[in-house]
Amino acid sequence: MTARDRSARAVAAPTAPAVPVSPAAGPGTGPAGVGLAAPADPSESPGALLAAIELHKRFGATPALDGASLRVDAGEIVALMGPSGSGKSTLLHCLAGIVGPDAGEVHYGTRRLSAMSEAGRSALRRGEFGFVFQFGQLVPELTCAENVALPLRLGGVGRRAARERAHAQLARLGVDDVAGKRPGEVSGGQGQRVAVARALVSEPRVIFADEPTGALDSLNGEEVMRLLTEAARTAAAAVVLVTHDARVAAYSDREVVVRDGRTRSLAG
Amino acid sequence: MSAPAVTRTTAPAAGPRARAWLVQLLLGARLALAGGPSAWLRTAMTGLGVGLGVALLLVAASAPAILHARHDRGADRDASSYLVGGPLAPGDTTVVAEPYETTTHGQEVSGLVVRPDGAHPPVPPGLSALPGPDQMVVSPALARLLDAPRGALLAARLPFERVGVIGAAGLAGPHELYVYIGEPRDRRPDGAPGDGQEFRIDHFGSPQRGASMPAVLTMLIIVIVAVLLLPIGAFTAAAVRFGSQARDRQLAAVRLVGADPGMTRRIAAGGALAGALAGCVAGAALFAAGRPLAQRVALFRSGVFASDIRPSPVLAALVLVAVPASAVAITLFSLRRVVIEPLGVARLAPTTRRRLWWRLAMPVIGIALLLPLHAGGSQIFGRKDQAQLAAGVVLVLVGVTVLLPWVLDAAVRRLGPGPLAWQLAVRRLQLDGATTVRAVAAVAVAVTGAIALQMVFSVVEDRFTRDITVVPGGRSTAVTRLWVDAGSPGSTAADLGQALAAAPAARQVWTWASGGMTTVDLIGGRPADSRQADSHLYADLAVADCASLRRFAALPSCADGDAFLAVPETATGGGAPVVLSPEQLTGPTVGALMSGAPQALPGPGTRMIVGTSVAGAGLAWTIPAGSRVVATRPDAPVGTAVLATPGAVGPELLDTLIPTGYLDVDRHEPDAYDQAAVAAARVDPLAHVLTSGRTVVDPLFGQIRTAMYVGIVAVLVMVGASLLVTMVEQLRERHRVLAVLVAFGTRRRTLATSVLWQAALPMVLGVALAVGLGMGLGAALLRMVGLPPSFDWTNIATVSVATAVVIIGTTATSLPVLYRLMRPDGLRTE
Amino acid sequence: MSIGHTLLGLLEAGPRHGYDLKRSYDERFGHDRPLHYGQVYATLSRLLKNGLVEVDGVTPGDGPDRKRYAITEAGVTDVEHWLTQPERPDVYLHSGLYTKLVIALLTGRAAADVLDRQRAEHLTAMRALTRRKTGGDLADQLVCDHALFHLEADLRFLELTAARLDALASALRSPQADEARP
Repeated sequence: MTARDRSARAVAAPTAPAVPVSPAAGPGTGPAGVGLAAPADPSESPGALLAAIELHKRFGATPALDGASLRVDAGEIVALMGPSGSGKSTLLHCLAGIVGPDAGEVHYGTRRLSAMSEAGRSALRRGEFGFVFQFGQLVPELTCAENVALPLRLGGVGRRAARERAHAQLARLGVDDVAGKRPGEVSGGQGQRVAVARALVSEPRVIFADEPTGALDSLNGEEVMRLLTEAARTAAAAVVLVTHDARVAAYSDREVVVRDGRTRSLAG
Repeated sequence: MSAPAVTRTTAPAAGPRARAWLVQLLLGARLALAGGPSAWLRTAMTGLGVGLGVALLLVAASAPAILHARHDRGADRDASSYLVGGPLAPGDTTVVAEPYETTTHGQEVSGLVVRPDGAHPPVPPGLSALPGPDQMVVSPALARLLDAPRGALLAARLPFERVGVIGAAGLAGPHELYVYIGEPRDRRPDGAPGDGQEFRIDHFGSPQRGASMPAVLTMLIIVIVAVLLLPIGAFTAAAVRFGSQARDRQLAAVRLVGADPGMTRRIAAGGALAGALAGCVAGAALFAAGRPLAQRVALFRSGVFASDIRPSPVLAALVLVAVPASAVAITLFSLRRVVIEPLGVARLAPTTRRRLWWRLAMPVIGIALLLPLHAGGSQIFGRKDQAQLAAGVVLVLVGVTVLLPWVLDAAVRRLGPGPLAWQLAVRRLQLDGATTVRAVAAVAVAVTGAIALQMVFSVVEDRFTRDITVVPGGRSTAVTRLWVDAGSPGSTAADLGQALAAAPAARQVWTWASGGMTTVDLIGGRPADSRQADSHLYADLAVADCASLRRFAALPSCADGDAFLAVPETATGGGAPVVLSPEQLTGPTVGALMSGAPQALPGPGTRMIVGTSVAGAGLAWTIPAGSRVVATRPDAPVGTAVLATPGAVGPELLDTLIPTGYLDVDRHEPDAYDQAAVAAARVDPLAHVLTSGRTVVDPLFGQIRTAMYVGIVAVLVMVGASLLVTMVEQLRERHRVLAVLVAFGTRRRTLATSVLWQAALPMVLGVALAVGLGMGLGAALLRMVGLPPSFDWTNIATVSVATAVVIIGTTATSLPVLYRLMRPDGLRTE
Repeated sequence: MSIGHTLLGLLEAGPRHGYDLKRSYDERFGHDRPLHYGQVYATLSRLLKNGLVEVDGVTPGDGPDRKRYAITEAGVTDVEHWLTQPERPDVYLHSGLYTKLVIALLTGRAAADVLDRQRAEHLTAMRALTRRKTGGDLADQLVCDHALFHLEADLRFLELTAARLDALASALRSPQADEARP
């Protein structure tokens, strides 16, 4: 083990990619590169919006999470990267309270998700979180506008108010022309934008996006990522972005690598 | 070893094209049978559904054989040959017979009382010899009944020695209660005229065929057949399409590996054929297994011999060919709107809205066909009427299935937005309601028919019940009036009265010795050799003691030897009955006197012949001079009659009369009839006990009603099962959407409620439509019988409750699947 | 990149002075390396010599920027020919990344660390490109995408390598076993 540690230090200097761009270019320099030195223990940063501490989760005999830790600050866009089956989606599900970890804790603000009831977690997901998935997420029989209004109506917003907010959100994402159509009648890019609108409509504090561009071509994927990150930054919502695509991850403020159910901590 | 050789020799002969088709059909069959557990389950469901349909269709195909066999055996033992040709003289090969009919616990027992004239009487089928005096031969079902505790009341009035059992050849069905009784030796004095029901025959069996059925029964049978067959058809059609969505995906995979659309259709047809053929096998097996069971059920009262349930070969072949053919046709038809591409399945949105006019036209034309028909009274339905009735009923019922998609479509389209669960369900139905509609159509047809039938039944039944319970002239409806007449000498009438009065259910008893008599002289005094029967004046004679006679009429005074001329206090039909003196009877003014009078009585001094039986010549009697006219009591069983005390007629004449009794019994006493019959049997075991409307409609209606309820429940359960399959299939297909909805924080309750709505909306709409059309159909049918419509809300409530149970049951059963699919596993990328 | 063909392509839009050409070039293609005047004029004189451009007019006065150049028929044909020739794919068989990885493995050091650090470095660069892209015009988007795709390709290679680490390690550590096999 000591030999490995030593070697890690020895080859610690990464090769600078040959990119003809000055790193300082562009606005809004985020906390780039924080992922490398991100502390594994979220308790070190009490201001974290969302924090996972030492999560363990098994599906049958297969361990999906094996001591994953993560913290997400308010308004921060974090990319969870890693190979297939590394547990990044499971980590997202645990963070969102969809799946309960076998061991470990997830904190949302001052609340412990494991201490909440299923109904409480559902209410949290309705009110505070938004979701974008890879595909098949729009309810096929509802129109696009109704799909967008869904989280609002789940949260008890009146039908009329929900419809108005849904239309406004669709307009913001430039897809108000498909409002009356069913998901089966719109293109993949439009559908995914509708999904983004749905994730944003309830003004969530955290948006969970699991491979949001996975089923799209490059151009549509770029467009969806641009809209998602811009809208999230405007609304000061944090984004937890699961992706294996570096170009998608490049929209994040920092990345966290998940491998074999563990978040990689280079500083440790 | 030989199998491949056979294939090789036959295949080229059929041509490469046919061979390719065969291969594709077989591939479809293999996919249906070996496509994993879900495909297998799908095929099994289809097979079971089609199997149930095939089994019932085979039963229906056996109906001609069943009816034919029953009719033939009925004709073989028929004893009505005396009606053809003139009366027979007693001889070595003749037998005097008299029908025996009674009822026990609402079950009809019938038979024949026989008294051979000589040593070689004819023997009916199923018997080796006629029973001797005081002996009887009973049917197996009757033997069982007599031995059972509930047959005790019947056994008390059949106190004869059992000498044998009637064979199947002499019975309509295994459950028929039938008896041949050898007339007791000392029942009547020799030469007594008897009660007029006996006849002399020299052979059993009648060439008479095609006895016409009352129109009402024909109507009911046609309606029942239509009502039962159509839901079977609808359900079979739905069964063929079980799991069609999964099949479409399978076909898409087949297209991916290079099948063209034509091949895809043939592969689909192969799959449908596999399911339908499995259904035919299952149906034939169910039919074969059910045949012995059918013998145990007392269908049509006397039951059906298993050996009689033989499907007509033509009809059976038709069923076994038509079902797979329809399965293929339905499959291909359903693929019309589906475009199966290698990468998925697209359903063509209906380009045009469903049109209403032709859908509405069907039930309207159906009702229009029914309205001109009349089946009241004793009318007989001709072939044209039958066809018109069947067409009308079928059109109305089919109208339900074609109207339902439109109604559901229109309703769902107009349904306003509501709570989220409601919205999800409504949108789901808007997008794809067809699968649900197919399942619901079957139940709608069944419910429509059932409601119509129930309406007819309850009204017709009600009418018959009223006939029985209303006492002629009486006002109380709490009693049923029974009529007893015995074959014993008239002097036993008093004994009959005592016996009947001892019955616990008896409220009021009248007994007397009754007979008919005609004047010796002709009306208007024309020549005595006139053969015109109606030229003599007829009168009823009632002989009883003074105490009994006082209960018939208000007598100013009475002593043995007196006679009275009783006429009703309030004559019906206007005008009082006229009493004719012998002079008036033979005089020229008789016509004027009798015209306008509802009835005429011979006056005192008129010479009469008592006895109407063919067996005897009758005895002469003169109405005593001084017989007074008295008023009959309104509730008395005798209207216009000559009342006489025994002394007025003399013992010899008295014994030729028939002991007769009227008995009012408590209507709610279930054993009343049996008690009366047992009491009467003490005087004469073969006494007839009749109720005035004794059509014994009750048990028959009860059975049909039970059968219908069972049928409706069965259809509802089948529909529930197919709804469940559809729903679970849809849920499985949507597991990802469900998982996403859960991620969004959707409550379980919301989704469960949505599933409930999804089942409830079409079911409620379907049943509402069915109730409406059913009531319309029922009203039209009642109109045919000449009765006003009357809606039995209990039945409608029953059907509604059953529907609700199916909806809730289906939803509840699908909830575990829903909850399992709501787990976040669905979010994991495949 | 062929500067000659690029200049020819720019000239096809219309005759220009050398200075305009340099500015257009820098605007569109010279993000990291602006062209030297000398290079521009050297290239133009070579094109002139080959008959691909001609002098359209001369502005009287001092300085090298007196001539206006126009593309000739032959020049247009040359541009056409150049555009139809596919670029030779660059093959990096011996990149520094690969070298580092192999050395890390051979020396028993954690190659995963190399990969993760490299990924972080790449992503930092990609983030900067992405930011510039989202704020920039079409030219920015095109050039940034080009760079992003190349960086992504590096990272894909890294991911694949990470997945192959075990196999690679065993292959590197047992060369004798490989040779012993017939």
